[in-house]
Amino acid sequence: MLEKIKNILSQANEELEKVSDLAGLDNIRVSYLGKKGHLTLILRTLGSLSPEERPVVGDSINKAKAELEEKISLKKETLEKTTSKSSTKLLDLTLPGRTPFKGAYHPITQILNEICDIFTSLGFTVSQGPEIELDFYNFEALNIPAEHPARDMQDTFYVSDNVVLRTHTSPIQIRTMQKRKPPLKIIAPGKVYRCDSDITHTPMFHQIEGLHVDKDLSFSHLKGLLIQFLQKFFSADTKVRFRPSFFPFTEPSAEVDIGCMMCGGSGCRVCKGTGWIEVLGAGMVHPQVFRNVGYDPAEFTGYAFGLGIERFTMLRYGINDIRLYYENDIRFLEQFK
Amino acid sequence: MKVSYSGLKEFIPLNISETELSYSLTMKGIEVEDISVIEHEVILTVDKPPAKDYIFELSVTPNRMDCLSFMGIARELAAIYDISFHNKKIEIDYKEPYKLNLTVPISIQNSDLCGIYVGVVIDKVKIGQSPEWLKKFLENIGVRSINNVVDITNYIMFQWGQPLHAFDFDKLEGHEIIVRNAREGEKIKTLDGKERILDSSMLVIADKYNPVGIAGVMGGESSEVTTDTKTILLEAAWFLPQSIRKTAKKLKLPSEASHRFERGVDPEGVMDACKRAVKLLCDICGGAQTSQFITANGNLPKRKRIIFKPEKARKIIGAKLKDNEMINILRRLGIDIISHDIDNFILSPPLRRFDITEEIDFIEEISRIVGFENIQATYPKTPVFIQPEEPLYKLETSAKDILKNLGLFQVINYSFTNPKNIKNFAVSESDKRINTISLQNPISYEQSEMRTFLLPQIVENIQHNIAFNKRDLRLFEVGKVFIKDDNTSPLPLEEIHAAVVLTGRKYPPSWTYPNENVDFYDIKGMAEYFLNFFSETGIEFMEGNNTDEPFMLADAHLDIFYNNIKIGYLGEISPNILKNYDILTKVFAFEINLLPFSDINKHYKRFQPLPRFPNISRDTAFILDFNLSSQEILIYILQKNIEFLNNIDIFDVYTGKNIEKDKKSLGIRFNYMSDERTLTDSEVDEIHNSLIEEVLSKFDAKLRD
Repeated sequence: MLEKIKNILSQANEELEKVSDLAGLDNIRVSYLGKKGHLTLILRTLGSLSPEERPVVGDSINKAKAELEEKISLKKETLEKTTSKSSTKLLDLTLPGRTPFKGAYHPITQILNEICDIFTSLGFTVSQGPEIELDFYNFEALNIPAEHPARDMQDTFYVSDNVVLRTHTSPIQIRTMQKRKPPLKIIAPGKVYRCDSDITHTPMFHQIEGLHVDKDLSFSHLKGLLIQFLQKFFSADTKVRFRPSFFPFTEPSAEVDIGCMMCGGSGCRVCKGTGWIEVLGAGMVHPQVFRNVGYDPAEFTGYAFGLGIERFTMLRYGINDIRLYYENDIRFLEQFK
Repeated sequence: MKVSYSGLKEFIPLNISETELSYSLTMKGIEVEDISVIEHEVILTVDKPPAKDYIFELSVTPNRMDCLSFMGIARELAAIYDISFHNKKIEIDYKEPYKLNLTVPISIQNSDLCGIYVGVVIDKVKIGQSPEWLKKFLENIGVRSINNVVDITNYIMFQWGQPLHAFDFDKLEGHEIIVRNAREGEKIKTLDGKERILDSSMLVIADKYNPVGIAGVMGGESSEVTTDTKTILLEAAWFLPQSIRKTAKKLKLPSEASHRFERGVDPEGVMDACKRAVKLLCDICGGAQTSQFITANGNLPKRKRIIFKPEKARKIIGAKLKDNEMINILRRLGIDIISHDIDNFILSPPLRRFDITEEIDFIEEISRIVGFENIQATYPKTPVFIQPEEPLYKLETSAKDILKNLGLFQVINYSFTNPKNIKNFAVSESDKRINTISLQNPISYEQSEMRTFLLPQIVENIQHNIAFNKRDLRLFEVGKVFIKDDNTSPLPLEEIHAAVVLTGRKYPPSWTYPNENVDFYDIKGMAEYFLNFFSETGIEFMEGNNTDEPFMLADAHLDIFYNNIKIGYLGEISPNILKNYDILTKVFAFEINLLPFSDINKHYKRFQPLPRFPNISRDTAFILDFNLSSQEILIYILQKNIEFLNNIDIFDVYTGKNIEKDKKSLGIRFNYMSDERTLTDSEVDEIHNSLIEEVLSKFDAKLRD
């Protein structure tokens, strides 16, 4: 019996010497140590031995198994090393892999999504509305009556006398307020249109507007929100300033500037030498707007803000020509993969 | 608008630098867009000639008419810095030889549109060049010098904000002024030499018979002051802003005067400005004599009383401002305090502040003068609440997301398009897509119609890129199209479409991929994959009818249906259409209206238990008539409801070697499975073989060897 074990072991050693790959090594392991392996089978015959022989043979089988296991694992280590350094390579590992096509959002969409994400994380939800809009929603309800000079601020495309291409996404605010009661916390992203086309204007562009209506909202809160947003979008140390301005639908109204990131505030072409770049319009919702939608301005206050995506996109990527946005040149689009 | 530093000093003591002044104005709401330095030895003002002056280019918001003059800006600075404001009083000396004994009948027929009309006749006027200081004043703010009379009226307008007009008195028929509505179709030749046709909503200044000026907009050529003029009639008036605006807009005739009148000039400053002009005319235009001021009155706005609650201001601004601090600011702005108790103040703003009509306007003034930079930023205490979602937005963003992840590039095209596209795409007369919405005032013909489908512009994108030798293109657009609604709604139907175009290579350029171009099955597969995200049921493809989509290649396109309603098409674009865009390669496309998917309720999937027994499959290849569609066979097999037949799919389609010309080989994999036990090979064979027999006889097919 012991002789048999010795033979098995030496045969195994012989095979181990010869084996040159991991698969072969595994075959050896299975044929000696596996469930039906030589050593395992011998172990099963122990029962037929005398009680004196049993511990001796058993001990020797176990030693043989342990010895073989160790040798196999040693062999495995060396094999693993040598296969990786094999002199005839099967693969040229430097060849590029089989990658699928990679697409991309238009940069405008990327920035729009990013801005929407920031505001949704602050509890705003998205609202939508038509792009061809009634004069009432685009102007009247927003406190811009027909003969008001503020209409000159926006060059409007007309479809008919009382139907326009929306000049801002603010009509969405009106439509949403008509449908829902406060509290209300919405953003309205989308395309807007103004009859203006030159190096700095395209007749179609994208806006995001926000509206928050509740009891006790103040200008101070508006400042807090927008500073937080701008520092998240640009950088934590972005300087932000609020200047009084005029919009018929908010009062007080503000224009919001950020410190120019190109020159650090010393003045350059991007900021036209002022050190500041205008990025947002904002203000407290005008009581007349609340009256127009049936909210009581004595009970509710609110703030609203609006920004142009094209501008944020230009600032983020350093794009210097707004016309590139709508040429859809693949050499442009590919840069935003 | 431009103002000079020296000009402001006429009204207020200024001892701050030009940069500080610029910063203050900007931070209080009057944005300084530019500062230029002027160094000269020429006398700028009558009294004190400064060696160096600064010109500020201001952007005045449309609510602040009162700031459209040097005086207005100076008054604003006086309020900001809490310094004294001084406006020299003017007295006219009516003693001989200046006195002119003459009076002119002036009447206002529409007293709603004209609040006050002041006329004064000045005789023995010598028309000539203006003095240097006046020329320089105008030049510095970008106004051309014309003659002494016109320059004086301009000077008064820019310095004090009141537009004036001078008529050649001798050319006024009947030596009379009537402020009246124009007669329908009445004509006048304005100072710019153009004939204008008026309507009855417009206010004119007329002599006894004819209009001699369009009120507040522009004077008439017939009564223009020329070098021969001896006597002038000077006009200073207040017109209703809305009326002037309407007229200027209708006539497309904006002027410096109408710009001010339509925003509202100071009703309390008309007479003062007129006096200043007369004084200058007498001083400058050589030995003139002047009549008394002849005034006709209409309905001039009256001062209002408005309640102001300091508590409301604190709430809106969100700052702890003291009552007296706020009241002091309002007082500095010229607002009168009529009375007050503990919680309420009754205030009366000056008439020049047309923008102050309710309480919030006081709050704005306070916040502005306090300075936005002095209001602390805080965060609202918002209650937690869940708001409804916007289904259309989700639809749009998920469509973009899927297509981007399929390796496509998103394009964004203008919503307005070239009317030629509809023609190029051969859209038929009965197609709703031909019925486009036109803009009344487009930027150009090429951008004059709202798009009714996305494909033409995305094909234009291909054309653009091919011009730069970019031929492998995978583009998508998700956006709105605008369909004229036959219903009563004044607004069109806005559909959200997703469109894809593929052209050129099927795989990215690589050493390992085959060099093949995209084909029909690429676009069809993409459409199937895309649609599956929106609905797993109810989607059908039907062979396209060519009259529906005349721009798609016959026999190479499908119509897409969702719950039996057509939502789009897919396939190859007809080369005849592509020729119009100089595209000679194959282009595959789909376009789908996503709107029908917007009301799909949130559908949560239910878990299906895993099959407990293995699947047994049999592959069989049939040789069939070439024109037989694979769908027909699959439907035939499925409709038999064979027991244990779990599903079937096509694993091979072959034509060519060893297959007769008008035949094809179709390989189908049949998967058999039972929920209760493991099927045996022999029982599967029995079921399968009898099924095969039926297929063979039904379709007159043969088995492939």
